[in-house]
Amino acid sequence: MFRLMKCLTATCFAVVASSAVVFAGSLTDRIEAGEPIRIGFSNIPIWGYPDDNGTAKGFVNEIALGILKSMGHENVETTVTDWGGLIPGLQANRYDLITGGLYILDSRCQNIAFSEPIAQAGDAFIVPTGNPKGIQTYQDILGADAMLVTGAGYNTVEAAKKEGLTDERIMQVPGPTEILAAVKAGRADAGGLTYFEASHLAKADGAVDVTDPGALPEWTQNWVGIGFRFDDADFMEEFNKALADYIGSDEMMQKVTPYGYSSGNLPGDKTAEWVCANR
Amino acid sequence: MSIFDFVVQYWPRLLSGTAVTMAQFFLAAALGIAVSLCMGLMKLSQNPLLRGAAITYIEIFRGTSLVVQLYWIFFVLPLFGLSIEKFTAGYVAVGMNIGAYGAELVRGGILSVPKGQWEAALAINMSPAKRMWRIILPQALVNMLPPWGNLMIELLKGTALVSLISVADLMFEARQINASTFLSAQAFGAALVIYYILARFLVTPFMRWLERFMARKLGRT
Repeated sequence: MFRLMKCLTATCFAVVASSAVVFAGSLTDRIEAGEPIRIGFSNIPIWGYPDDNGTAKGFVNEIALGILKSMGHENVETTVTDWGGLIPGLQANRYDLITGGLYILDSRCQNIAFSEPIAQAGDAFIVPTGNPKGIQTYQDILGADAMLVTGAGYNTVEAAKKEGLTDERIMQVPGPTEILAAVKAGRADAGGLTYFEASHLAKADGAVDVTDPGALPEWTQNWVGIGFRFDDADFMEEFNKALADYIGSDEMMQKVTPYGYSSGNLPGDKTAEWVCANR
Repeated sequence: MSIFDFVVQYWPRLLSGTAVTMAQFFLAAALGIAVSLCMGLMKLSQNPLLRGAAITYIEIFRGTSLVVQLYWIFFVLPLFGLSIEKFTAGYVAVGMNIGAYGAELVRGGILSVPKGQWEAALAINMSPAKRMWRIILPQALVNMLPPWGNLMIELLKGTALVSLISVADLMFEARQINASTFLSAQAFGAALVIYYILARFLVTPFMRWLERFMARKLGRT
């Protein structure tokens, strides 16, 4: 009995120990050791998404990869994950930078470091064609006794709460596909997303319309940054230097125009620090 | 788009996803079986230390949600300096979870072997290890195979959760295709059918065959 058990226990340990265990150091160390820079992003059309072959597409990915290339880093490994898994994955050292298309928000600044802004963008709603409840703003949703659907961890959740919507009025789902499905199925009257995505969905699916992004209050306007770990501040500093030269360059605009990014989306003179303090 | 056209267009991704699901299944099953044998035997041990370790393990892994365990291994362990690659993290979490359930099956199977068998083995002066290996375990195995069939199907479906830590299994591919094409009915419909085929035409027949094979070995047909 004892011998048998020893043998079995040994098998257990062998199975567990044979699984690869990797200890990752700081990003600069990893690059020096010739290891790839690991980028995490989610499947969000226009912002950052994989194409059919799994290649990183979307304007945030294009900008991040463009900046890394201008710094001389081409050894990059990209991973698709859930939106909600981006920040935990960065903190767990699974990714070195996250490009999801994260807005720089105070609550996020508490947990991760942001590069200087790479874009500014507003939100909008998708509503059933014809907008039967006449929804343009959060106040309209409140007034029409309607239901808002948005993504878990999205900035729109915070915005809706600030505007007075309670949890019973906000349905949270994993991502844009589910938001679209909820609006089409009539489970919600409006889906809150970024204007980029909302207009993309409205174009892709005839059953929904996009509302006017200008109707939402000015403070819902947001700036987009690329997320880093606080420990990699040295690398982020280099990245920001390259970023300053890259943003708005012809090379960049050429790459991002197909995604609908226009000069109006350039971040202007706002710094990440200012955005952290004000959003 | 009909589900047939859908499969014709996306079969390479569905196939690679299915391959990853199968790999996860076999690795998790191997780990799960090893763990359940260890823990099942340890729980029957006279040694309070071994018994305590097994009870703790079973309680923790059976008593908490598999998704939480998966997230723990993937997102929390690295904070303590242990970073397991995602593919490994996937089958380790599923296998260790299923092992906790399996341990109880092993224990139940062993206890259901008639007392007389233990006494007879003792009477012919077999050592405890030999008695377990040659007399008790084979009979216990026959007793516990039917519930193991259940557990294996459960395990196959449990592997779908590894898609949440971005292991590119069948569920992950279905979700990705759904996210970029919005063809929910087709994407999840195809995944549903493939999981069913795997469970119905692979796992179940194999377990049935194994039951018959073991019964024949023990002359119980």
